[in-house]
Amino acid sequence: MSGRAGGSTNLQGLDDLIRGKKKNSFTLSPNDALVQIALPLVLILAIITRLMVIEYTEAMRNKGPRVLEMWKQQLILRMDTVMNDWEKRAELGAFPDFSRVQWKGAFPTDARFKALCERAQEMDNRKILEDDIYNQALAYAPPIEDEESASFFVPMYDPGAKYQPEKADEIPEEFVINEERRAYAMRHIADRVSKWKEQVEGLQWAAVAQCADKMPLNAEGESPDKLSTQLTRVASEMSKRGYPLMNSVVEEYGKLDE
Amino acid sequence: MKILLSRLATFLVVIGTINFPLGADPKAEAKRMLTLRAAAEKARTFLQESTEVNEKQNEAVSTMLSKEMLKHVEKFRSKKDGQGPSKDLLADWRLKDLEKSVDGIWEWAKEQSPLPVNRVDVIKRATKNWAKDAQAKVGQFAEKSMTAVYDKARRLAADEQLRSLKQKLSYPSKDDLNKRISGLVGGNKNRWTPLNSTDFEKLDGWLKTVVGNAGPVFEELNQEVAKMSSNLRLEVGSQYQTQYKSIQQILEKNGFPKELITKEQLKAHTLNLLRKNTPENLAAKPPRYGVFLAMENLVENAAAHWEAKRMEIFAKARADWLPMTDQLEQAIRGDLVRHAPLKDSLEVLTEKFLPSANEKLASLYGGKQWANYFKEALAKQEVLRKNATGLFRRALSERIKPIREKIAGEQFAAHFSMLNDKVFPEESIVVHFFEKGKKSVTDFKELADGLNFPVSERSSIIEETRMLAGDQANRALVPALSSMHKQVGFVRELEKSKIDQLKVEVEQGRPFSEILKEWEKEWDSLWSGAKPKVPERWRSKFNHTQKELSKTVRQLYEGMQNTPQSTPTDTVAVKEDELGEEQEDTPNESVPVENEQPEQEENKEKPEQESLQGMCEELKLYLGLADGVFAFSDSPDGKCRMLFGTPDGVGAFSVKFDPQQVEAAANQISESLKEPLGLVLDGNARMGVNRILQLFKGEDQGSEIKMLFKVSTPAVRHQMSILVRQQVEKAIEAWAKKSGRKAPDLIWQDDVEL
Repeated sequence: MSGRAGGSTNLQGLDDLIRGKKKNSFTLSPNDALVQIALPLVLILAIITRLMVIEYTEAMRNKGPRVLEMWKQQLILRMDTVMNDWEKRAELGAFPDFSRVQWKGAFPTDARFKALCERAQEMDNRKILEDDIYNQALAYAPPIEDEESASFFVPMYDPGAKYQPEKADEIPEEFVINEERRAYAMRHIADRVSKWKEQVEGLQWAAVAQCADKMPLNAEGESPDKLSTQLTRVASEMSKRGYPLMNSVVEEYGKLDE
Repeated sequence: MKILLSRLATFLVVIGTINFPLGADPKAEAKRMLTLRAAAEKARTFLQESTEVNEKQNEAVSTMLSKEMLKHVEKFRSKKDGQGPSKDLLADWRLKDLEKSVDGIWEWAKEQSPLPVNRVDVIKRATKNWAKDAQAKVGQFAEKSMTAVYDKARRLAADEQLRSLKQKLSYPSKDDLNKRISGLVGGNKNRWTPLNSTDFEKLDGWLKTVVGNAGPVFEELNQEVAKMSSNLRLEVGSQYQTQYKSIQQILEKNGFPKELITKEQLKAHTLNLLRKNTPENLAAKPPRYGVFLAMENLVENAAAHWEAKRMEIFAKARADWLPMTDQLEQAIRGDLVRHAPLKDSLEVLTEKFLPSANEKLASLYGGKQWANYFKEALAKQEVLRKNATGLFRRALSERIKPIREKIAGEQFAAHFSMLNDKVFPEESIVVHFFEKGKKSVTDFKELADGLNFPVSERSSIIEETRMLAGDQANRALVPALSSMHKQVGFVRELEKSKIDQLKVEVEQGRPFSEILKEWEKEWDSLWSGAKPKVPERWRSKFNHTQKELSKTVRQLYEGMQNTPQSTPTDTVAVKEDELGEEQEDTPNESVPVENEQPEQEENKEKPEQESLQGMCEELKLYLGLADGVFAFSDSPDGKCRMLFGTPDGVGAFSVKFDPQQVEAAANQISESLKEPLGLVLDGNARMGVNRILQLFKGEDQGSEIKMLFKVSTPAVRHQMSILVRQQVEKAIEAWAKKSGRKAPDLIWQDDVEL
């Protein structure tokens, strides 16, 4: 039967050819073509593009010289020491994600998160925080009992900084910070503060979401026609409970005094 | 291609999802939450606020409600019944409004949030049970808002419906309206007076159905709808009146051009004018109906009226179409018998002269062109014929009046000149009328009989002559008869007053002549008192009075001389039920009439019937002579029988008595007479008016009853007549008192065979 049917198709094709009829050689329908060919192709292209982006990013990261200059090593050591200390005091390391925040009812009950929120307020004025970290880094002196660590630290001098060492002129030129070196240092600090800020903001927004979700609605008669009002209200309730939010969160819909 | 693009878009979304997983951004999630919260608060506020309609909503809600009312008028027709559905509608409206607001809030939320926001989430956050709370709130809203909205909505709906009704108002078609208006004219198809506004009120019922075709209406509009129908009626009435007013002067004041004489000409002229003044526009609102059919009929009827009336006016103004006086005189004198009564004379003359007079009138009025038309019309057209005939008769009546007066004068002079004589009436004539109980002459036959005027000539005496003679006769006869009545009346008074004295005198053997002289003296005394009131000519004593006095005294005298000692009377009476009185079925104790055997009870009824029939037959002998008859005759057993009744049998009875016991017999008769006499008086009173022919209208006739005392036995004397008459007079007075009628004058005629 199938043979006869195939033969009939061929005869029909011949007949169409003789009569000059257009023959449709592509037997797939547009839908079939889309599902069976185009979509897998697009998917493959997307995966390739993503992989290329990752590769490029990694390459750029490893582009610098493998051995850093001394001043740079010393400066990074000092800055990271100070910033690690800040991170530790801010309990930032305790909250890799929001699920770590302890919660009860509509509000958090977490002392570390409370400390984080309080500490994070320093980021409301980043310039001061960053300058402060920079000056602390220049001034950092390891504890006397930690002799091993002390050997790694070399005094540094920045004529333009707030902190000025006692015997600045004795410090070798290699450890004197000029404009360029200071800019490098400040970029390094800013990068890390940015990460902190990003992490804290994430946590605080999640807290806002949870509070907004759980908090009872306002009394009747009020007209909350602005989201800023809602946010302010949540922020206020959290602040009352010792969880002040960063300005960058609270002022998402505009400055409070505006 | 479209499908291809949509698939592509789907994949781009998939790619996007792979690179930027949803829900990973806490800020976006926070914003979504804040948005949800704000939206929920908004929704809840909206649900809680305004539990009744506010000023801003009032207009919209009222309008919505009024529109719904207009869609279902039947449900909202009554103000009371419409409240339930209105509350439902208000609740429904409020619920939709709430849903709409929630939709608006949701749309706003979607714009605010970077992440998708579900409507359900908004509602859930707003209230625990949205459906229940919303239902409760809208119910509350409907209840509280009714006062503010319902009346206003009804007013709006009613105003709209009224406007619509007025717009859609279907006016009756011309044909329908014509039928209805023509129906108002009623049975009088010749009517040419216009319908008035009250007549049009009869159309109200029908007009209401015309207006009411729009369907059910709000109860507030009932009066308005009624007003619309009455307005429609007023409009129709106004159009009718306007049409009539445009031709009113012509129709009512004979305002047709002089040259138009036939009804067709009159009609055509009026209709032309009417149509000219009444433009038709059936498309207008309200339609101008043009000339109504009823108005055309009115014009036609008016034309017919004025055709006859105008001819009548013409005829009245002319005399040349009437017969000449000498023709009329000749006709009357030619057959006085037929022309004796004026009415007959008019009939005869009309019959004789009317056709030629009509023909002449038709020629004079119609001229050459319309002479035949009017000749035919006068013969066939009822109104025209009646008018012309009436006019002819009135003219004829005037024309023959002097002719007939002239003839009457001639006949009076020829046959009744003696009435003008100073000696008229002689006493014999006065006695003739007196004996007939007359106080004046009321009939020509009576007069002619009294004057012995030949019967053969009587028929040719015309009505006017008879009147003349009657008037002239009464002028002298009335005082003469009055005087004679008074004189004889004194004789009767003496009878009553002196009868007891007479008995004593008879017993004492006083001579008759002495007694008569004394009576004459007393009569003179009585008369001298009454004489001054009587005309001088009739103050002397009539011979007839003297004879009556003498006869009365002699009859009484002789009767008393021959009266033996009393013996028991033998009374015979007839059953009362046979005399016309209703009687209960009690055994009748009265004795049947003469020759009957009381012991033959089986045959009791038959002889009684026969005797009653016999009495009636006997009474018929006196037909025309009197209203009641006392007929006395001998009985085979030596007693007397009295038969009483009217000549037509009413109240007939008979009584047997001993003629020697005069007083006992009179009492017996009196007892038996009470009820039958009442029947006679009742019958006489009923027929009183018809019985008196007032041919000569000169004198006022009082009611009277004439009794005939017919005696055919020597045993009954004049004393019996007097006694019975006294009893009858008493009975008449009693009857008058009982019935409340005026007692008739008793005319007593003695016919005693001495």
